[in-house]
Amino acid sequence: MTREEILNELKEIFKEVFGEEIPLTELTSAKDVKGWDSLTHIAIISSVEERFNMKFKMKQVLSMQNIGDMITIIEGN
Amino acid sequence: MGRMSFLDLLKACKEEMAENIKPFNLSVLGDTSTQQLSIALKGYAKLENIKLNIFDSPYNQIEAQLLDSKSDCFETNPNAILIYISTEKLYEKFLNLSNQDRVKFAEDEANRIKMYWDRIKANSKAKILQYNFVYINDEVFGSFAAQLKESFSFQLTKLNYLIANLSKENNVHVIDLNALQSKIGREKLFDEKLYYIAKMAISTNALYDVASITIPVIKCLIGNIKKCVILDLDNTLWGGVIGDVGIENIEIGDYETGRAFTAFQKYLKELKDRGIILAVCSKNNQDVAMKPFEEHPDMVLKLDDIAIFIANWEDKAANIKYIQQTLNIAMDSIVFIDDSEFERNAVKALIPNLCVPEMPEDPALYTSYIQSLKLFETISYSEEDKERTTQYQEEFKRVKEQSLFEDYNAYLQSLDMKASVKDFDAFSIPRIAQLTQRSNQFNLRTIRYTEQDIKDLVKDENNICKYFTLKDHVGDYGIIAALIMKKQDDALFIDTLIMSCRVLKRGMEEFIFNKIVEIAAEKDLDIIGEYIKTPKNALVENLYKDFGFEERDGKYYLSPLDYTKFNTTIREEND
Repeated sequence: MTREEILNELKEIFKEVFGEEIPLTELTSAKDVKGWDSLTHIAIISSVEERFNMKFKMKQVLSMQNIGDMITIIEGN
Repeated sequence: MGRMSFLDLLKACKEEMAENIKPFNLSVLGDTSTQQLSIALKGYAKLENIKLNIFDSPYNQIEAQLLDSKSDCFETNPNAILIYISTEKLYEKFLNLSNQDRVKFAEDEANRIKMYWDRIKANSKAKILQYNFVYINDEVFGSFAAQLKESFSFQLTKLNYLIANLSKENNVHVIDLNALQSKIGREKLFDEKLYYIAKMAISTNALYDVASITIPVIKCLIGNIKKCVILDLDNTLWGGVIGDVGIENIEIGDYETGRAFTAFQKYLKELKDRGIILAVCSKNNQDVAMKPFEEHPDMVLKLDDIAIFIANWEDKAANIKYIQQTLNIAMDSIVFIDDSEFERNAVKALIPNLCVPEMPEDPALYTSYIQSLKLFETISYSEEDKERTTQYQEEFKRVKEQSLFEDYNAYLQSLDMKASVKDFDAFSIPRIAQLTQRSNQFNLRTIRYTEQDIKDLVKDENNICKYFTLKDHVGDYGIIAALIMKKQDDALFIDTLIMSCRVLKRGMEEFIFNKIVEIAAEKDLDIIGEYIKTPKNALVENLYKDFGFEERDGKYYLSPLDYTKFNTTIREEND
C-alpha cells in the first residue's frame, strides 16, 4: 500500500471514531483533533491493528507524534 | 447480528433510542480501566434494542463505591451491578504475598468478593453480575503448577470453583468470561501493551465478544428470553432431503457427516430437557417427515420431544404463526432454525421480530454456531422446566377435545378442573420466581423476583403469598398462578398477580379473584390493585375493572362487601 492509500484508510477509521470527517494530513497530531484523548487514542490504535492486521509495539503507541509517524509504523509491518 | 468491531459499538452507543423504551440501569465496577467495556456494553445493548444507562465507576474503585452507601454506584439506582475483578490485577497482588498467604489466596479472595456482594445487598436491590476469572498459567512451574497449592494457577482454578459454589445461595449471576477466553484465545482477549499503558485488561478488539456474553444475561434479567425453537428437518436435523433419498439414506448416526447432525440433535434434546419447547416446521408430507422420529434407530429426537409437529406444503411463515398462536408465547421468544437461506429470508420478511439465525453452510458448524449466539441464557431453573414439552402436548389434546363441543362452557365442564391454593414453600419457590421472570402478558405489575427475593417476601409477616395449581382429566398444569399481597394500613395491596397464559379463559381468573376476596373478607380488609402498563400486558389492562374494582387516582379499589362471587367450573381441591 502507498502512504496515500494508508492515509485514506486512516481517514475512514477516524470518521468512525469521531463520528465525522476529520481532515487528516501526515502532520496532523492529537492536539489538532478535538476529542483525541488517551481513550480515543487506544480505540484508534486497536482499530488500526485490526484493519491492517498488524500490532504496534508498546513504545510506538506512546512515541507517535503525528499521523505521518503512524503511517511509517504501519508501512513497516 | 454478525460480528462487529468496537467502533461499530461506539457508533451505536452514541445513537439516541426512543423515549418509550424503559431503560435498564447498570453500574460497572472494575479494578482496571472499564470505560471502553462500558461503551461496548451500551452499544451492543442498543443493537439488541435495549436501553442501558451505565454508571461506569472510576478506575479501581470497587471498594470505595461499595463501602459507601451513598456512592454514585448506589445513588444511580442500578437494576444490576456488574463487578469485573481481573485475573491480571489478582496476579499482581499474588506476587506480593508470602508463600503462607499464597496457599490461602483463593479463600481470602472469595471471602473478599462475598463481602462485596453483602455490601451490595445491604444497600441496594440491584442484581449482582460477576465475571469469573480468566485462567492463566504464569509458567513459573509450567504444568507442574497443578500439583502446587502455592502456585497462581492452582489458586485461580480454586477461586473460580469457590465463586461458582457461592453464587447460588448468594443470588449472584456469574458470567463465564473464562469460557470466552477459551473460545477466542488469550491473544485475542488480552493485549499486554494496553494493560501496561492504560490498565485495560480486555483488548479493545475483544470487547464485542465480551459484550456478546454479557448482554444476553441482562436480557434475561429484563425477561427477554427464548422459550421455543422451531426446526426445519431436511439438512437441518439430518443430512439429505428425505422425500428424495428415502429414510434409509438420510445422514444421521455415528458415521461421518451423520455425526454432525447427531451432535446437533443431542444439543437440541438437552435444550428440550431443560425446558425449551421444540417444534417442527417442515415442507414435507407428514407421514414421510414423522417416520424417522418413529422408526430410525439413529434419531436422537423422538416424537415425544416435539411439542408441535407441522409438516405440509404451506408457506412456513403461516405455519410459524400458527405454532406461535397455539403455544401462546411472544413471537420474539421463538428461534427458527432452517438451513435454507431462501426459507429464512422469506420468513424474516413476513415476521421481522422472529429470531432467525444465519446458519453456516457447513453442518459441522451448526451446534457451535447456535451455542455461540448465547440464545438460551437463563436465570432460573425449576422442576417444571423439564415438564414443559409434556405440558404443551397435553394442551394440544385439550384443543382437539374442545372441537367436539358446541358449547364452550360444556367443554370446560367436561375437563373436570380442580385447583388448589397453597402458601409458598421451598418446593414451589423456584417455579414461582420463574413465573415472575418469564410472564409478560397476564402480569399486572411485571416485578421480576429471584428465588432469594421470594424467600425474603415470605419471611415478612405483612405479606400473604399464595400459589395456585390446576389440573384436569387430561393432565396437570402444575403451578400456574402466583399472588403476593401486602398489608397496607387497612387494605391488602396486590403486589404481584401473575397467571400463566396456558390457562387463560377457562375460569381460573374467576377462581383467583373469588379467592382474593375470600382472603380479604376473612381479614376484614379492602383490596387495592394496580396495573402497570408494558408493551406486553395489554391483556390485563381492564382486569380489575372487569372484576368490579373501582378506579381512583390510577389504582383500583374493592371492598369485599361489594363483591359477588363469579361462576367458574373449577373446583377447589384441598389435600
